Amino acid sequence: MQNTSLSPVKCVSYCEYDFSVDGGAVSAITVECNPIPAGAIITSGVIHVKTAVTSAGSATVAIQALSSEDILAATGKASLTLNALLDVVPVGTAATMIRATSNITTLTFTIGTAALTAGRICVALDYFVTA
Amino acid sequence: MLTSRGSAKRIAYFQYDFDVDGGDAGAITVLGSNIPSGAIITSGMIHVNTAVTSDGSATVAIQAASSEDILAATAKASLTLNALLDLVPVGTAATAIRLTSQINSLTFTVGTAALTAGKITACLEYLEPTA
Repeated sequence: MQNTSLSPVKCVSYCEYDFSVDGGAVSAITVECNPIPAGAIITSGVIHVKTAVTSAGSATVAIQALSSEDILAATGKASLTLNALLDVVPVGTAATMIRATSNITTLTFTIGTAALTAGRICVALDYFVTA
Repeated sequence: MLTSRGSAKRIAYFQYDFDVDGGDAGAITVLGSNIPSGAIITSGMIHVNTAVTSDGSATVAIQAASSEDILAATAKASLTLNALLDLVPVGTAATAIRLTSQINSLTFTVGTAALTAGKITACLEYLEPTA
């Protein structure tokens, strides 16, 4: 038997995309987040649209931590309205959790189809550290 | 009204390690974080840090307050390196566990055959006592 030395807290990493800072061209935009250590397990989280996403076209936004669309699948601007709350891909089930195989210090916001003209999106990711 | 309870959701970690705890068939007590009487375990997950191996058809079950209330008997084939497993409590009222006494350990029950290796971390999320 043993006592674990693991810290009894669940950690949260925040990442905020801001059009006025990061731009909105159709591209992959890297945005810093609170570091998530290699080996951590992202279990769940939430996306909060703090400023509505706008575009002259049918823009989409996807979000990636380690692999394409592993945090948010490409989502149309119509779903990214002021104060919209969106699920992240990991929804608290083992099948959807992500084990970080390397340190994560940024998320990639991928703008698709058309450029953005405004928007601010906050991502909060919950994770455990088990080693 | 506001209450005097803390506003954070609590986490308890328990880590079974074959090298420390052995792997004979039977009940193995693994000390970890303290969870107070009256707390409500709502969810969590299990991470297999080291694959579970056995010369036989070994199973592992995990108990907090009653038999298999954290993990039903699970065969070694599901306990591979970096496997992530759901707990019995999956964030629903029907699966939540209200503790009627304080715990600071979980019971890992090895069934059918002894283990020859394995390291398993159970992460439990709980709400502090509500009364």
